[in-house]
Amino acid sequence: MKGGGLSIKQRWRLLWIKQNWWREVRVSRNYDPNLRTQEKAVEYVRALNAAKLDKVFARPFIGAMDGHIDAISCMAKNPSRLKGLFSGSMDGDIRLWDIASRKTVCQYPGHQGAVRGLTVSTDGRILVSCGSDCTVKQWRVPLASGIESNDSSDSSDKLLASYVWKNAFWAVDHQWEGDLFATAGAQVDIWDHNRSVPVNSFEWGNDTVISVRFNPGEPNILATSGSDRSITLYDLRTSSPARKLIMRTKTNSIAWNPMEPMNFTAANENCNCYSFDARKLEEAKCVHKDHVSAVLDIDYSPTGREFVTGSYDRTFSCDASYVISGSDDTNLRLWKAKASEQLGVILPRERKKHEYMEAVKNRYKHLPEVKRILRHRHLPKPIYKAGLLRRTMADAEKRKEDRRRAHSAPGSLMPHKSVRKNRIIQEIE
Amino acid sequence: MEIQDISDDIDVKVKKYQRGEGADLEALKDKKLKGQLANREELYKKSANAAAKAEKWLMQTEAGRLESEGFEKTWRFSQQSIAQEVDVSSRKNQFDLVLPDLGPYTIDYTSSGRYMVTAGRKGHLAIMDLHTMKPVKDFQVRETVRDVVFLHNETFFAAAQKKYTYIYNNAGTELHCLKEHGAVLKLQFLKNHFLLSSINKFGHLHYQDITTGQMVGNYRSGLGRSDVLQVNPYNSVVASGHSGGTISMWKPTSAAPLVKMLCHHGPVTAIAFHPNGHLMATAGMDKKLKIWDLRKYEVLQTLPGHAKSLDFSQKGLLASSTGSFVQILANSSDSQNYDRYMIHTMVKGYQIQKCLFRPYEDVLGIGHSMGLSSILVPGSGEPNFDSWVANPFETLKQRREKEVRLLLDKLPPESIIMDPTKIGTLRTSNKIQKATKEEKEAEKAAAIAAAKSGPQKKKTKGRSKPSKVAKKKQEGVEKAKRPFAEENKHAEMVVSKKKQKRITEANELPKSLQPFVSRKAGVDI
Repeated sequence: MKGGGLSIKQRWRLLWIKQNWWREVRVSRNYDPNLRTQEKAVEYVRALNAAKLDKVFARPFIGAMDGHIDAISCMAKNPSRLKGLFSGSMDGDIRLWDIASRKTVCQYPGHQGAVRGLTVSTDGRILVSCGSDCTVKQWRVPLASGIESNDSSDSSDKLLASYVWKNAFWAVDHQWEGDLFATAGAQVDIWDHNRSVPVNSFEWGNDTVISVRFNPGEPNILATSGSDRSITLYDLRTSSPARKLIMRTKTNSIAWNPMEPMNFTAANENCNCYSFDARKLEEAKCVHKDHVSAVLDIDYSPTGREFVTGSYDRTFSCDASYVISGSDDTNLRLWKAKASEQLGVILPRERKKHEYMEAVKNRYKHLPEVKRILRHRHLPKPIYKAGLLRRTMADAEKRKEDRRRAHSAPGSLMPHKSVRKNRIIQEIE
Repeated sequence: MEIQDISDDIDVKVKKYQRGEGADLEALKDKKLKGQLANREELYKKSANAAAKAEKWLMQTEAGRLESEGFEKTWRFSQQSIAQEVDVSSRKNQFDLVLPDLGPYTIDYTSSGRYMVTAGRKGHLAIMDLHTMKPVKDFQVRETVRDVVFLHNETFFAAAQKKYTYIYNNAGTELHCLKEHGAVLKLQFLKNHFLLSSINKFGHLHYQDITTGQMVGNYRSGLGRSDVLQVNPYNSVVASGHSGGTISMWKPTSAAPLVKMLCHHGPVTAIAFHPNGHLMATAGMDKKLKIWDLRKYEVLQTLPGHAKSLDFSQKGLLASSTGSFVQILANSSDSQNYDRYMIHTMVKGYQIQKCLFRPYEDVLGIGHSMGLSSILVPGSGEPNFDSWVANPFETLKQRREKEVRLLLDKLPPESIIMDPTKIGTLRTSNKIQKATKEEKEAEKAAAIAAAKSGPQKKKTKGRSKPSKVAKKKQEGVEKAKRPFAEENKHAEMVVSKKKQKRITEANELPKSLQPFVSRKAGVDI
């Protein structure tokens, strides 16, 4: 006759009983599913609690930086130094801010009119600005990270070069790896740092070019948007425009995805943003709909997974966790990208807990209770009402379209146009 | 060779952790979704593998078992012989407490198996710490106590006394008197939901949330007095057995039972649920012990014998007690059949009230008319506990933390459903689709064809004349047509009623408005 093997257990039991209060408590795990009942219901309850806590801890506003006297018209970030941010205003004042202390490091006065575009060179040493006074100016960026007092005697030192050209400029952008920068005005001009006239000039059509952006992956490709409702892609090597895409409404701003350089997103006047694949412009990859009025500015986070848009504000993000927006009320505001994120140093246990909450929330985010909480946004009344109005209008349109289709002879009406293609009129080589 | 063996061994274990079959990805057309799901399945596989490996290398202890050599049966071994083979600390789990005066005793264990609460019918309540074998608190309430359960940990327990149910502290202080439950016969505690369920003398079922004190459900079972109540740990559904031989299963949010099954020819005397949720054992006065599969609601096995009390252990052993005799049944090597594993006879006069397996220990606790006993049953308890589920070696700090976490994870009573894995899955559409006209015609034709080609009964002694046979066949066809005709008539009646209503409403309008009444069918005014 054999008995059961219980003596091993006795040894472990004695070890357990012997542990002193000051020693670390031993944890033993058994992952057998039979020991835990109703796992899914427990996970669902945790997802619900996680969603609620998310909203409870949502405190996105960090601080405001003010100092400008007039509305802010453009911003630029320094790719080599994340702490510094440039902003230009409608009265020609350009400032460099230190985000951590939210104070101005130095000022670059000099423009006569509004500063329309700001950009920083690849090595972070030179700041290029363009304005509606038809000038392009190059400034030196101070390297020291300490806060310097505004020294007006130094300002002439800081200005490296100033070029005057034929027309007012609307935007400027610098190549990601190289020495060229492009300005947008009546046409697209390509400048070199040392030349006082543009190296090259592109034009397609007779309208002004509103914004210009270089591709982060391919240094010779740039995208521009014009006031003739078009988006044009240029290639510097061929010295001629590559492709043009005409849409129904004007595109106010373009941003390339830094992680997937063939995709770019265009912020449009009709309150949507369209993501395109640059190789295949005939249909939009994705339509982003949430704004209630024209989207004026757009920027991608460095991770390439999120982008931030602003309407009637100018916004962008240096870092995937912060968003900075500048607006007509002359101040720059600093926000958290994820409103309920904990800033600062997080302990490993805290981090694990946050990751678990994220994961369990994502698993059940399609269920109605959790979805309702996650989707909820406390909007100001006018925006909320405008959103509702837009939705009823869109629904009415759709309903009428469906009825037209149902009551007309099959085949007589054009087939369904997908939303992605809907806004595009034509593509030209 | 060895690696092969190890991997086979792990394969078997991996299946346990996978929690069902993987999704069928071939049927999907959406590439993005397919990619995402494929990723998920990869992750699940990895985690199941990791859990299987952890079980193989990190689980310290293995379960024991009684094994017999040759012609000896395992149930021939007495408790004394088992006690001689095991170590000292296990031997102290085998004891007899003789308490002859205070009536048949019933027992309950905490989920960690460390504390036990006992109640004698004549009012004796006691909590015992089974590691130190010392009573924590021992007091008399001087009235009939019919049942006792621990709440979420050893600091609270509920006792069903003569008129009301009371909740006590582990210091013996009476904390609450629950008057709404009435004279309760059986109590059960739903651990994940913090619900105390009870069934009283009139067959009324009550669910009370003990964190808020709110009565969540209060239902009349409609089947008379019942003193059998058991909770299914897999899905927290409460089953009660009635004197007509039916078992009804309840959830707190509906007044009608989820399931009503007829199990026995006489009253049901005991119910027990297997921890994996698939098996249920029931015993009735018809001297039968039946083992059911809960997925198909079919009997798997019928065994002879009475049973006043049934219990499944964590490893799937079934204990049944009747009179002064306990037998323990085990299913041999993954076959579904239970056969006798051990027996234990007590002194002839002792009437066993309740037998209950102790969690995480190879022990069966028996409450009987002369006190308590505890016998060794090798292989019944889960040898490896999980500190975050139930820890028998809990310190005070751990207990407090655990209480807080349990409260945070408390499930709402609406989450009790028969199949708990359905949460988060797609709900199949419940719309009753009305058969189209063609389908109805097809159905009718099929029914007529079936009636025509049905078996013809041949009668003898000249009663099967061809004319009579033909008449019978005709009757059969008409019988098949009848339900369709009725349906049509019913539908027509509904339509005509609507029409009538419309016409009368139109007539009620003043004459100037009558031309504007719509004549089209299906438009309501």
